[in-house]
Amino acid sequence: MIPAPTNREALGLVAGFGLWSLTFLLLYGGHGLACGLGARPEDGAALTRILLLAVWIAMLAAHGALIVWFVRRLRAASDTLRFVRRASVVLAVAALVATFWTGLPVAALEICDGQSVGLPDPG
Amino acid sequence: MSEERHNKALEFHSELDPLYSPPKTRFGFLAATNHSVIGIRFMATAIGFFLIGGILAMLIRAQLAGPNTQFLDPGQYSQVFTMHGTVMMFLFAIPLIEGFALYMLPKLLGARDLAFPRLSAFGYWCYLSGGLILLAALLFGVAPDSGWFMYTPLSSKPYSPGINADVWLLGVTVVEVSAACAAIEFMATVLKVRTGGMALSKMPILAWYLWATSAMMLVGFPPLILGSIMLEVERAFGLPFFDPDKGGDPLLWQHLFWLFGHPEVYIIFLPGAGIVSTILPVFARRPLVGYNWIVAALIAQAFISFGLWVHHMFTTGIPDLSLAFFSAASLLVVVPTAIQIFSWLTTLLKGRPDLSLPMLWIYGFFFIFVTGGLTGVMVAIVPFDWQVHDTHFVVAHLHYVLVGGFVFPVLAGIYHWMPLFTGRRSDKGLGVLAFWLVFIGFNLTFFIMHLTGLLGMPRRVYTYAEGLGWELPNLVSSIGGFMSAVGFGLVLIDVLVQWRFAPFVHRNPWKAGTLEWGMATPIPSYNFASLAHVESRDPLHDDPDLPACLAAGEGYLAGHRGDYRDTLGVDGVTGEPEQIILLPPPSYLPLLTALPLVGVALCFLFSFYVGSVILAVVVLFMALRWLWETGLREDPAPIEAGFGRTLLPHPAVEQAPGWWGMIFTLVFDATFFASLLFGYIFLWTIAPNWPPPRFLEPAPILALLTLASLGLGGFAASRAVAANRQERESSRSSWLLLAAASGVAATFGLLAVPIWLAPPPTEHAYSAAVLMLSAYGAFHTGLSTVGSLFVLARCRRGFVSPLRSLDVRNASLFWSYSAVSGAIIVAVIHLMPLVGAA
Repeated sequence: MIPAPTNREALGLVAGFGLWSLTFLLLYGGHGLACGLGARPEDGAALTRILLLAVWIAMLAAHGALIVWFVRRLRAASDTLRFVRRASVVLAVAALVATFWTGLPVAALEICDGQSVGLPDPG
Repeated sequence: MSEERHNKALEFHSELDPLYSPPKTRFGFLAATNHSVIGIRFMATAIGFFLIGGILAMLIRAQLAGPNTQFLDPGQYSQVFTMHGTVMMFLFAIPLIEGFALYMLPKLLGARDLAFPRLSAFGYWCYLSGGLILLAALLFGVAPDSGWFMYTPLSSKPYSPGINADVWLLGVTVVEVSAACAAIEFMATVLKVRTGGMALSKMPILAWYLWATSAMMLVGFPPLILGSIMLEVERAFGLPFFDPDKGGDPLLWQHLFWLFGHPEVYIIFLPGAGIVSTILPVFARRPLVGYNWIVAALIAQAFISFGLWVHHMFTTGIPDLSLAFFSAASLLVVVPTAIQIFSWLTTLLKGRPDLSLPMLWIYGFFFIFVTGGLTGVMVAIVPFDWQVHDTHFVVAHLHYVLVGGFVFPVLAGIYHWMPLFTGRRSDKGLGVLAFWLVFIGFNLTFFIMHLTGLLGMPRRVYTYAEGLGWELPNLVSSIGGFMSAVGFGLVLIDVLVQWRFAPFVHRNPWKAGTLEWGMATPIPSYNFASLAHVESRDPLHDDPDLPACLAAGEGYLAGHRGDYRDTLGVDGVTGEPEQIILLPPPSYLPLLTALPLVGVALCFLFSFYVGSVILAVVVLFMALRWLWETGLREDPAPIEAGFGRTLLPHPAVEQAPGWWGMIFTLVFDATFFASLLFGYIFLWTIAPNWPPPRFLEPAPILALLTLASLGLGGFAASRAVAANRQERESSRSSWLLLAAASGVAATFGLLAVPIWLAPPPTEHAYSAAVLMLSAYGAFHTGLSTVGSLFVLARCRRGFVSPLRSLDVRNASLFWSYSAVSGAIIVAVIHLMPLVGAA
């Protein structure tokens, strides 16, 4: 008797940092897009910051939800699946910390600033 | 071993060895597909290229040993440093990893071969050919000369008018085909081709590392391949992707290159770390501390390493906030690295380590890699990076990371695993002297080079004037460089001497616990006469007699069944036996498919584009010929697999390796597509000289018809799967025909845009990108058409049944991808002009 394939369980290992990657792309891409479309620090760029902060916070919440889901699954794990499910939880928590750390600059730095590589303005 | 077992083992050996060895004919070696043979070829070729790269390094050091040296002129120097980097990165490091994984993975996993042995052989021929193209260019004085990362506009046609840059773009792309094949192969192998009982939790740590590396290769290489194609078509046909006057942007190249280039550092480091994690516990005489943490750390590292690419672009004028994301990620990646280092240190502290030769190299690794890591933290800080960018400080840093993180562990690995290759003992001999020469020489070269960089010496200058304070550090670096070259030479001599003269050794001389030592040495062609059932990560520690039991056929799949090579397939997570994977016999098809593919590149290099097209058709024909040989024409009966289990051969199983091969191929493909979309959006939003002078003519009816064709094709292919399941053969044929017809219509709809509606592709990056997107979509729908007809032919010849459904399922999966990607392309090329015009 062949047991049902459990290959999809392995997806749990990449779920946490998959979310981190998505957050990273949304923040970097969103900021780049906003700057490319003309947002400038002197204009305040408040909307851009609000949007980026919203993305960051929403993704942190998604990370939290993922962790809760994974912890619940842990209780129902058989011996052979426990390793993968535990590792999935550890990685999901690590990814939450990573997302918090990587997104912190959104709250601290100017939007679209410093495109002259820090060199003095010749003008 | 008892006499009875011994006799049985000899009996199995005499049966299995001829079956798994390459044919003993004159040109039989060209048909070899055995993973050990191909792995050794990869590694031997890579080491050959390492020697060439080393000679180029010595030319660089000779040139820079003193000021105003005229040993090389600027043009020659540019070729030498470009080729040094190119050879070491693309022709040594990655192929050595591929060869190592090819050779080692099945042994670690207790299997007889990889999932797709012919793909390995195909990859080797691509690698060898691509490498020879680059080497020939060097010998003829037309080698690439724009630096190993080929920045535009220096590598663009106006500034590199010869074929030098084309050699890089085409040669490296051919080599990368082998990397793509290897990545797909390793992903499917680790997931499915393991021995019974080997759950993920019981997998050797090195297999985890190689799996993570493969996943990174799968996602890391497509941006480079895309960038190379874009730059080559710019150079060949004038499609201005990187020309800012026409809406292109040189920074797009940097993004695409470093999207590959930074993960590449970890692609190189992770196998080195895997070697350390494997060898160190053996010599510390205790299990690895923190196995679970290391697994989590390397998965985290594999992801985070993709968030670092812009740290090579800190000085390009990207906004501060964006830089901060990458700076944060660059600091973050230290954490999983540190987890591994502290695990290794704890293992050493808790164990009883000795100072054997492999350990000497591992101690060297610790010192050098950690130093490289520390300077890595320094360059992750944006203001510091601005100061040292493009100076010799960065050269020193990258050599500390790559040589420390890869070459030292590899040398430890060579001495550790040498008995598998030679059947002889691995002794200290000359190796100790060689180690100290390399270690001291390396630090002399590169430690002092940090200072040279801090003194302001830029990279890639062919000489320098006196009085800048650079003379002494450069001289010391050159002396150190030659010292380590002598050390590497001694390693080579030492290995050859030991190969020839060291005393023979019985199996498992180091008393290791993993399955690669569960074979006779030197290893037999089939690896294991029967396959183990494992209960832990160190099965040889659980049962030291296991190798003798396996050799005597007391495991899964003892001996052979008919003329097939075979191995066990398992559930990916639990390691429960699931199927018997039938392995292909030796074949010339990999070589005969690789040759026309190389011909495509060569014809392109010499602007014989018609030849490229003709040979591309030949490649397609050969690929179909290859696929035709797979599968079975009759439903198989379950086969006795050992330990009371009966299993079906893989063509009759849902989770066959070929299914996973297709999924991983599509992951690779999807990354390529995502990179292409990124390029288009990047140019649209960031590049100068946008909007373009004109957009394509609106054609809503064409767009809708194309979308309908795409949807119908995907739907028809999926219905063919359902009809096959329900044993409705004529319905299956009809759906496949409809899928093929839809593919023709969709291909026409996609190609119509650049041919009739869009402005000429040379006019602006916009129209060039539209052409590229359309070509991508049409290529896939065209391939889906061919695939549908091919599967139809296979159905008619009896290769497909409700039980043997892999062909039709794979065709449907590919069609689904073509339909979705095609629909995105249609939306992008038809809708974005409306946004732009608005």
